[in-house]
Amino acid sequence: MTLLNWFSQRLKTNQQRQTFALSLLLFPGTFWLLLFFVVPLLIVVLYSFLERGTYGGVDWQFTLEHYARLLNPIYWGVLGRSLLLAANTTLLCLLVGYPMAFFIASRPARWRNTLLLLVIIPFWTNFLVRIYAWIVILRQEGVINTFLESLHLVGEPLDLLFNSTAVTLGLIYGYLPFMILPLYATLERFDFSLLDAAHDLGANDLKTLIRIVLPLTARGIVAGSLLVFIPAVGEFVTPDLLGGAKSIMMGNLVHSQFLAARNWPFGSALSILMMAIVLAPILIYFRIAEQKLNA
Amino acid sequence: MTAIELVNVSKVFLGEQQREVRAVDHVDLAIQTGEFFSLLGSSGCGKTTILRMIAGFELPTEGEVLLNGEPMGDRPPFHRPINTVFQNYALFPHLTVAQNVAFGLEMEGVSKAELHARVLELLALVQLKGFEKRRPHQLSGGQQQRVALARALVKKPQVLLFDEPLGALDLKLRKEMQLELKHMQQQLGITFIYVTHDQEEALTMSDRLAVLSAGQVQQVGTPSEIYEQPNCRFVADFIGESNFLVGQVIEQEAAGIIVLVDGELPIAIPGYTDLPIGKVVTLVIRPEKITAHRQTPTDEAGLLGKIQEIVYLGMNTRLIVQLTAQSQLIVRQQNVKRIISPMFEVGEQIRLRINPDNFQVLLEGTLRTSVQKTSKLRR
Ligand SMILES: Nc1ncnc2c1ncn2[C@@H]1O[C@H](COP(=O)(O)OP(=O)(O)O)[C@@H](O)[C@H]1O
Ligand SMILES: [Mg+2]
Repeated sequence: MTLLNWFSQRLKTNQQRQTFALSLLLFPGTFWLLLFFVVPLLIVVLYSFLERGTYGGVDWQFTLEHYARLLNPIYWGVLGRSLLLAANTTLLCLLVGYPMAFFIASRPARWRNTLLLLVIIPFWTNFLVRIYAWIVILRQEGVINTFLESLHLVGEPLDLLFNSTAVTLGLIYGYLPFMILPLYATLERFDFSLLDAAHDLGANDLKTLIRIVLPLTARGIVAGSLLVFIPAVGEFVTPDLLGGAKSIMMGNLVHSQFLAARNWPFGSALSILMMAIVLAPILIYFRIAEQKLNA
Repeated sequence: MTAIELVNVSKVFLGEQQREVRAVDHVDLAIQTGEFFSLLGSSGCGKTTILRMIAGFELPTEGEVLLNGEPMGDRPPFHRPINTVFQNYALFPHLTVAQNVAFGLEMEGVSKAELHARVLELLALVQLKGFEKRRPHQLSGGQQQRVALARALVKKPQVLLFDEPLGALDLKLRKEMQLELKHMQQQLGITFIYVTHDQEEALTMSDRLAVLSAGQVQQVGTPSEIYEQPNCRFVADFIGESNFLVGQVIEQEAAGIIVLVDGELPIAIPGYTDLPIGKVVTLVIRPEKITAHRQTPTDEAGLLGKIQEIVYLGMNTRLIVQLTAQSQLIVRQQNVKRIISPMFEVGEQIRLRINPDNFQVLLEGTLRTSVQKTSKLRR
């Protein structure tokens, strides 16, 4: 500490001292990001251009073969499905989450924290356990089928598990809170007297929603959608447990390249493809936001 | 013609712990077309709730709101030809000034060309030409107020509601806006219903006003009726400054009655000959309607009193005069001449002259002699 004091006293101007203090505060975070995010990312990029090692790992030989292999339509199919499932999940999370966030934000202040707690409570149980619970619910001798059969509504048990619908259901279930929380954060700051004003000026509920509420909560919608979409594209646990052979996602592919096939460079190339595609909507969003700010 | 009528309207809210709050309590009001009508009352007396029921944001628990004689029932706000200027303006922050004003017209499906013309016309009316492209947060409080006004007026409402619209403005701007609003109302001939807790504002702007307290209407009348003939102690006390003298009718004559104030001071009041002897009444007299005079041996007209306090206020001088053992009178002496040396001294005996016509007689009050007795007992 004395060393720091000595050093900061040697800085002449206030400006210099402030800059020094700021860099001191930012150091841990910057260091963390550099070490555990930027460096691994660079390693992944590097690996994707190297030859595959015989027992995992890499041979230090430059090659583009992994990227060439990505052109195979099989992978584009998986990628397309990942994007579709993630997009569906995001849309459905938005449709379910928006009314919920709106409801919570429009309650009296003393109710809101309790209701938010209810949204967060599932986090207290391990994700794997919660997804596994869906198997218990959806399988042939599971809760739903047993119930339907006991009412003689179905003759044969329904195939509810191991398809894209089950995966989407699991994804929605898993990521709904990530949609609700940012939506709530914007809706909580929303001035509800604007609803009265819109009604007063002749707007019905639908028009009020479209012209006033949605534009003023757009940031929350975008933030929630990104928070759901990005992790959903890369998911591998949910499709692994709830999906069948036809609902493999990019995450599964990457996962299997690293662990089963032991093809690290190809796994890296897949990761980079996925990252590039996920990055696109974010960049577009920031570009639009920037333009709006400048306008 | 009656624009807005409230018939026996009550509103009960469920407050905390399910406790019932009767925000509006059996209110009857009839507001004439083209009138500037104010609802005056202190904070929490139910003004906003009445306004919100007229606009349709709240439905009455009991009673009926009528517009041009037609019951509104549960008709939503967007189907009532009524608009509101909100307390905090409630401008849409993501829209420009022009878009805010245009919003109501777009909802009506007005054509682009007409819309543009009307928006410009209204912005000119509220003196905001050239501000079309600004957003609400780029405007001062007074300018936001004007946008809110233009946004409501553009709908050509039959009735325009104001909820303490000038509350957030500083005094000077408030006075300017008061005049402007009043002029605008006279020009446009729209019925204005104006909520305020500022009595001066209500008196200067209104054609008529209602004084509210605890969800009930205390008195409805023109500003001068409310000021000169308050119908209860609450109104007399709430509007301006009042002196109250409680007494008992002790004599009836052909021309009037004699009221014995505080059991010691007889005061003659013209009229009221139907009041029975023994009836307890409260005499209300405004401080500026009393004149103070120096005692002279020859002139014995007026009530004798002893000065307790003198406060020089520039335009007038405020005297507090002990009239009886229990009652003091506040006197406002207009300083019509320059006062170089004080006219009176504290402790001086003076004569107060009151034209008996200036007394307002209220058929309420409790004699304070009994109160004094009990308080003496307690001591
Ligand atoms: N939505 C509501 N829920 C519960 N109580 C309310 C509600 N709105 C108003 N009140 C209560 O009704 C009373 C009158 O309120 P209001 O009409 O806003 O008064 P004012 O506008 O005269 O200040 C207050 O006691 C207030 O607390
Ligand atoms: Mg109010």
